[in-house]
Amino acid sequence: MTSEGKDNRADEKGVEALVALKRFEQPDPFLETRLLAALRSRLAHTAPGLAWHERLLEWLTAGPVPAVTVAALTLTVGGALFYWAHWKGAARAPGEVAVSRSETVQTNIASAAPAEDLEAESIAEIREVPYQKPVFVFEFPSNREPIGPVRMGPTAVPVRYDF
Amino acid sequence: MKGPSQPGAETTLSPPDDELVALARGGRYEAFEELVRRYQRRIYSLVYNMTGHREDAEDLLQEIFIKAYRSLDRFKGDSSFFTWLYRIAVNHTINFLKKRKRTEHDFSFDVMDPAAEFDPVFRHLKARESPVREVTLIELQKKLNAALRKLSDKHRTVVVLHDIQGLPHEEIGRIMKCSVGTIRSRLFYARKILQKELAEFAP
Repeated sequence: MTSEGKDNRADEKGVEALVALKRFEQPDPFLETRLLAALRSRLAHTAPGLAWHERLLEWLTAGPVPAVTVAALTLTVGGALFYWAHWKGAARAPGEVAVSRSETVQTNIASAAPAEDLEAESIAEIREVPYQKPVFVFEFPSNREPIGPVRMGPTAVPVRYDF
Repeated sequence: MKGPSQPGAETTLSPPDDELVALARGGRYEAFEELVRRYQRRIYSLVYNMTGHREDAEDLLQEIFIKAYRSLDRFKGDSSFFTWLYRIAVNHTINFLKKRKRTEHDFSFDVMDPAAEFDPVFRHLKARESPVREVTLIELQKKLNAALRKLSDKHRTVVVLHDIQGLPHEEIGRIMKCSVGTIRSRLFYARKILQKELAEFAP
């Protein structure tokens, strides 16, 4: 070993000896009493081990990096939501398919019908347009833009006609 | 200082750890209390030296033993109870330190045993020709804690376990779940930093 190496070794030993002086730091003499009392009050009536939700919580919080925990939680929740949505969609899909199939069949039948029937059908469709009662809205001239003098008789009332 | 898991370290009068663990698992709380009595000083020393704060260390000590009690059914016995408990303590303390980094924290020291004045290292420091002033125990304590604070959590853990608690490299490797080479490397690097920080006390 070179002299430099020996010096390094000596320095290391010196540091080790210095740090070892910390073993002379003494804890409070009542530390043990306090600790045992605190533990007894919290643990004496509980069995060792954790409930499942405590285990889950511990697993989530025991990760070395909080970001990993957050990412794991996000993935779990996201995955569960995706699975739920997918499962729900899959469960509803067969019903939807059945409806569209029946509609398709009806359309095909209608396209295969004779011309007279089609005409009658179209007339019936026209007739089936719901009747909308016209609505009369009475307005006072003051509500309108002043585009000039309003020409009307003494008993006339401006009328707007729309559906 | 060797861990109780080391051969010959256990006293013959008290039951071995495994027996106490089995009893505690069976619902005998007194057995767990015996384990707490057995290891509380060592765990406290570890946590205190890692945090540099005695109130925090006391709170953490409670949390660590509560965690150990609640995890007893998961202790498989692959390693010794001592190693398993130390692993819980190290991980819990490192997690605590990561959270604590966001706020500035002051030191809070334990009292230094006056017997330290008779330690050969300290006597050597005092006897040395000091050009500036005489070294006091309090001053040395402050410097040591400040120097340890400069290390990363993992490096500090290795220094505390090896230089203060006297655990062998292999045991530290088992506790921290890394190779002996990694432990040696961390120790070397940590000592280099400490050497700079404690240059005025260097022999």
